[in-house]
Amino acid sequence: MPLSAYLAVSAILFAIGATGVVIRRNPLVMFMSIELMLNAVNLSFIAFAHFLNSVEGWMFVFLVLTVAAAEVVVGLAIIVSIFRTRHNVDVDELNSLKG
Amino acid sequence: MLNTPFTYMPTGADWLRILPELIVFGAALLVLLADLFIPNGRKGWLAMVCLLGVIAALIGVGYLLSNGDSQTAFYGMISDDTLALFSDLLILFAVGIGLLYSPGYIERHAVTRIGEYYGLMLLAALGMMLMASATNLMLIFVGLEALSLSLYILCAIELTRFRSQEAGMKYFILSSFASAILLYGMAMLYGSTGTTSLSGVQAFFAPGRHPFLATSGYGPLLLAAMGLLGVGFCFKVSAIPFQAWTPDVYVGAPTSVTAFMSVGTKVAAFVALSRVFLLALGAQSDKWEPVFWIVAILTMLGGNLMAVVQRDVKRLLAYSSIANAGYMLVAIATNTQHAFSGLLIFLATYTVMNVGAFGIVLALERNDGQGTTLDDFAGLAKRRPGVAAAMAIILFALAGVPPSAGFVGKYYVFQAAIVGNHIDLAVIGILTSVLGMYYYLRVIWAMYFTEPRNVSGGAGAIAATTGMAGEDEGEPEPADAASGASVAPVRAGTATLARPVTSRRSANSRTVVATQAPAESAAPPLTLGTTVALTLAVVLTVALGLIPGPIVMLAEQAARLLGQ
Repeated sequence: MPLSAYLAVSAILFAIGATGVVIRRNPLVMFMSIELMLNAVNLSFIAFAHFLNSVEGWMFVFLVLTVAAAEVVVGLAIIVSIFRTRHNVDVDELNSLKG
Repeated sequence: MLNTPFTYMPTGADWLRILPELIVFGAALLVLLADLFIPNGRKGWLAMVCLLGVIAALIGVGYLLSNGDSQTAFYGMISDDTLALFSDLLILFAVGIGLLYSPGYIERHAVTRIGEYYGLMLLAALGMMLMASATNLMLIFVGLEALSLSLYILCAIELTRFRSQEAGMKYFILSSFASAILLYGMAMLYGSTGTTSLSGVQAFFAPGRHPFLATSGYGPLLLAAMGLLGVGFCFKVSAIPFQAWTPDVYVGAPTSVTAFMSVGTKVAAFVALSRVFLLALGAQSDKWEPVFWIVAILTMLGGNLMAVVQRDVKRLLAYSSIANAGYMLVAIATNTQHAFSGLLIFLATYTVMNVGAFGIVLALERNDGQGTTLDDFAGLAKRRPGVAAAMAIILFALAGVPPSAGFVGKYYVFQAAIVGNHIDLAVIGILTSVLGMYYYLRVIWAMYFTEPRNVSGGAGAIAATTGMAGEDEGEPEPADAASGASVAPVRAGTATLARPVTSRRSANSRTVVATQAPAESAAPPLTLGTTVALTLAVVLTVALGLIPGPIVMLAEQAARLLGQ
């Protein structure tokens, strides 16, 4: 398959993820969308690394995977802690700060 | 190429080049370890350990400034050039001041996770230092995530104050969204140039290296890379139209954290942005300069205009930091070596002023996070002349009145813009600075020339609504506050009945309210650490204005990187 096919899939996945973050109101879903965006980026890194025959793209993917895992830990902790205080995690309810 | 085995052995010189980062990392680990052995009530010692670590790291920066070789280390990942050391200096100063503010804040706000708080402060600083020193896209990303992940937790660390949690949540979602966009840009840049190293990217665009570049298929990929990188960085430096998260996060986060993050992330993000755009993508400047030109104008205008209508000083400072990001973007859009040194000088002056300004807010706000509106500042000069004087000096500096630090920063940025054929940006910058004077001076007017309006009554009413009901309302009016006071116990009561799991928590928060209510009617006295930190910030604000020589010299030396 040509490089552009991989890039197209990656771009579509990224767009789906970005749309999810923008239009969904549930932090868990927004959070999953962000993970989807990161994985779309991973796909393009691997495709580039393969076609450029360069090792840096592979290394970058490992870093992204590690960071994504750390992000899951921190993000879920914040969501759980908000849920404990409010029993509701809808982002439209997060409106005590405004102006 | 993949078949040849890759070996790289780091040498002693490599480790020496990341000395400040190593010291900060060691101190962070030491703090997390020491937290296990220090009993509750004596956690103040952790702040001492952190401060010692920061001072040791500052000494390390000094050593590298005089003996460093400005080379890259670890296979071109990280550099100890003057630019990196300059930003290390600013970040360490910011985290040092933030740490001095912390013990008093932690005690007043009953933060329970003290060991984690201090450990994460240092790890956030480490992430910023890595990001500013990185000479490879990989390390920029790792540094960015290290600082962001630490700051998400630090923003949300006050488990009993909902605004803190909300700030953490908002920052988390929007910032990781921006990180993903930035990362996609990095992938595109890697795809179009075949390397993640910034010097490799720079070499890729060297004249004559790729004569086919103009006509080849790299064009769209490269444009996408620059667009995505630009959007990602603009999110991080809170440039308009990507500024929406900034005021909420700065207001909701613990003030000691805000003081540190508002400058630390800006320094790290602007230095990384300069390394990527000015340095690596310098040859493509005709494509990105116009974009930053527009963003700079939008940010200067929008930041200042939105700051004018704010009644809350903490929020006003958040918008002022957006406006200041606009002035910094002027230097990016000008894109000369002279403008770059102007940017660094501006960052230095902004650092000392802003940590001071948020420090004053920290000194004045009550335990429920209220008490920072303009009405609360009314007549402050009579009640607390020292704090009012410090605030006045810092606000004059932020407004850019000579001979203060703020004037020096703006002078170098706008002068470089005029020399660099961007008179339009300089004119807009100066006009918006005049607009900025209005809202800075309005706070000074409130402190010195107005009488306090019903302060004791307002404070009492707010104290009564602390806790579950108090957190719901932004600024309770006296009439609302009366009803709020009667609602509060009922709400707390039903919460206890309906949620047995959390009964311990609500019981706790009620006792906290009960014990703190009398103290909340007045702003708490300054702790020793806060006093030292504020004095340091004010003295440096004045000193940088009177004798800017050393910092200008250092910034010019750091900016020489661009001329190479």
